[in-house]
Amino acid sequence: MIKILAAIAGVFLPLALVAQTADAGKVPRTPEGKPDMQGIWETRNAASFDVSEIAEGHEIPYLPAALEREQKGPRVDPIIHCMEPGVPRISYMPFPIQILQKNGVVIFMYEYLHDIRTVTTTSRPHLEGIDFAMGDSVGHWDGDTLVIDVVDFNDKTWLDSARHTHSDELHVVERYTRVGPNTINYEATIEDPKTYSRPWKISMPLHRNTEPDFELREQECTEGDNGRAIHPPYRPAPEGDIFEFVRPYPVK
Amino acid sequence: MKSRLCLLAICGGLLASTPVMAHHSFASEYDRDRRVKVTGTVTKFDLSNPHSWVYLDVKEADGTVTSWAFETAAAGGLYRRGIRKDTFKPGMVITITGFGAKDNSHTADAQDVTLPDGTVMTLGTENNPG
Repeated sequence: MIKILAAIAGVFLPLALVAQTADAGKVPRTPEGKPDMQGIWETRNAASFDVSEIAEGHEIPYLPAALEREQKGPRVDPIIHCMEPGVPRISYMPFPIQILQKNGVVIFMYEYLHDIRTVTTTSRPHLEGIDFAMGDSVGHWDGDTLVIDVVDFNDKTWLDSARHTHSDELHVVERYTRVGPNTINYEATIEDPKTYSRPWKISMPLHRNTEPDFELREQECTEGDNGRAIHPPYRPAPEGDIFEFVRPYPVK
Repeated sequence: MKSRLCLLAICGGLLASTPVMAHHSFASEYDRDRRVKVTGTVTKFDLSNPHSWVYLDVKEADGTVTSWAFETAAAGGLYRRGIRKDTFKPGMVITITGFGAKDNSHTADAQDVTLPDGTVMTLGTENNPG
């Protein structure tokens, strides 16, 4: 019996190990010796519907005042009106992301709304006296991890369709670590003293698209006469005046 | 001149309306032949995309106040010219030239602004009429 179990383990344990370390191949590097982040990447989650899916402990530490503000605020996902998704949401929109890289700069090309983020990795100072939907991104390398510090946000974007919001004091620190040929580990720390009681984290893998000849395509968003996207971002807005996403779980 | 323009707008029988916030062409909203020059007190400055907006209150000769809304270039373009969120502070008296709205509302596409210290800055989109 023990022999049988050992035999079974002998067959399955290595498989399990292979599954865990399937992406343990060599991390490609640029001529400058940095991890090469280039390629087309995708998420495979539904965080854009509800970011708590990828949040540490599936919990968002809301301040009571922020919840109250949220209840009184807009009730339609801004992307339904073709607004920018903001950061970090652009990173988990269900559309491919192409990363280009050269010494001192990493360029993120998003199929969604054909957004581009040009991130210098020279730790330049942040812009002052302006707010953007996508904020101001400044990068640096922490060893083999690309760290992007993002501030200068407006308060008009949501983190997901589930109406998780933020204020203009949002501060996002993204960390991209390429752990193998086909995986980037993505982490972001989100803080906002007007909205959350403490900084909180999200994490997810970015998977490399290995389909031959895969390219980004045009993705447009145009408002129709009813102010809703004619080309729905990824699901059609229902008929009627009110489109309200009801959270499927109690807010903590 | 300022009062005449304001008067014209009022005679048009239209009250100042909330400006259309969507992205649109100059020609669809503004009249190239309707030049306006307005001096007023800043009530709000919204440095944003797709276009930024400067809001002015103008005291008319009869004591009434007319609220104007000036559409300007996109946030990034204004930033490159040195304009920040607090460049036009509430209470500041500034003069803006531009092109009036086709509907005669107190809305205009801004061209230049003159600050209290005499500094003149471009508010319009580069190489555009406004």
